[in-house]
Amino acid sequence: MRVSVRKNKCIGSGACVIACGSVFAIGDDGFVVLLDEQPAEDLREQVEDAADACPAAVITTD
Amino acid sequence: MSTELTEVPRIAIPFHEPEFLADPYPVFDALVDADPIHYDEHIGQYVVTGYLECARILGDPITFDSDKVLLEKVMGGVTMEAMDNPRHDQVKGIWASAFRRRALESRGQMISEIVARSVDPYVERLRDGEIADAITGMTRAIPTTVIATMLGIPTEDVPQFTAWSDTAVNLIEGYTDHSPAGATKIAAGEAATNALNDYLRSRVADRRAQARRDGSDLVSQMVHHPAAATMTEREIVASNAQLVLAGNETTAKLMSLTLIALAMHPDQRALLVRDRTLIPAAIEEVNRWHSVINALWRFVKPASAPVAGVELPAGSAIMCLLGGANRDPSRWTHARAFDITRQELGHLGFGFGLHSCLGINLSRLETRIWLDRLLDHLPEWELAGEPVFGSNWGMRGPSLLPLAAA
Repeated sequence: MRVSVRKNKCIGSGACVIACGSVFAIGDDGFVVLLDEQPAEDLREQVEDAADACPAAVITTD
Repeated sequence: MSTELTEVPRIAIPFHEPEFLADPYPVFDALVDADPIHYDEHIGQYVVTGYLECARILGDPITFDSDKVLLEKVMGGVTMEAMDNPRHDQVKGIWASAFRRRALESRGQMISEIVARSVDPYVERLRDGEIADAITGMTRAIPTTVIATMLGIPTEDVPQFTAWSDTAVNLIEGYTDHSPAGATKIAAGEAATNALNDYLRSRVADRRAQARRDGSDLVSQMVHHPAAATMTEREIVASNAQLVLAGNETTAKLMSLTLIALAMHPDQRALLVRDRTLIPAAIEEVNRWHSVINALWRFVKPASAPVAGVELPAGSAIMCLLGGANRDPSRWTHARAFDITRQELGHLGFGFGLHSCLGINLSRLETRIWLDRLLDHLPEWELAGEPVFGSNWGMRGPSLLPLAAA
């Protein structure tokens, strides 16, 4: 699956990290870091949970 | 290149001057344009002005601590805002799913009904030629009624809730009002928080006694959540108080600031009337251009830390000047202009980082539904006199906003 983030909308809540810490992290500047643009399919549920949890609607998946 | 502590420019923000309270943005903008960090000697705080540096500070709860002492006073107990991880995620997590964007959509009908009950009578009065205060007449009750409904609290108690909440948040003024008047506000704020907590304590006990494990209200959700076993009674009660305090005056002020911004920019309001898909962007632009929360405070934890190129000693108090940072020209073009069509970039109006607003999407949903209905029934309005801003510049909004139909 492919994941992308819009860093310029991010408010650094960390909700994505809680939902899927293997794909998302918070950088030193406070904003989201995408650790893996193409995570394994078995992570889909967690990644979509992260997208749903993000208060700023930053994460898109396909 | 780093700056010596002694070289940080000294300032004195005129927190009590009527001109500042009526419009703090000339002062904020000048600070943003001058330097990334200043020291306000009168209050003993470093004022940080840049968007990126404010985000970095708020995004690093390990280096920069919240004001746990004040927060405990305002809420009546330790709540998520005053917690570090791992406890923070555990407690915020109890309600986090109820406040997700999609989960909140199921609240739309309830919110629409509350909005209609507030908007329609007010609009009718204006259409009849009356000049009426938008706050007591329309906006103030909306967020309080919504959160009271979500907490499962009877609507007849909403006016009391509003009174307690309005008084309690004035505690925050204590940051910059060190006068006897400030002390009086703080005492009144503490009394209000205590009264609110007493009320909620009985609600919590009631929910627990009913063992309503299927209770959809937020009080039941917390009381019956496994993580609640790790919380003291005082923390549970204060958490519910936090929802009341954090989620209602703020959103009401966002609505009021929206009324002012759109009255000042009638062309953009007309655009909104014709194209409601712009409403979400418009609301973000109001909160960016004239933020409700103009400052958040952090403290350098035990060990000095670099901030805006200056090594600040442990324990230093930092004011993240969100009201200025949200108009930072290094991030936004024409940063000081109100423009609902601008490219949307994240702002700091709902905070940033670990402690960013839990209710962010509830606030947005209420404000969107409210604005949509208002534009349906009253597409044009005028300010019928100067809005009155109180002394609470940190959580800012008018206390009196007389409007007339245009």
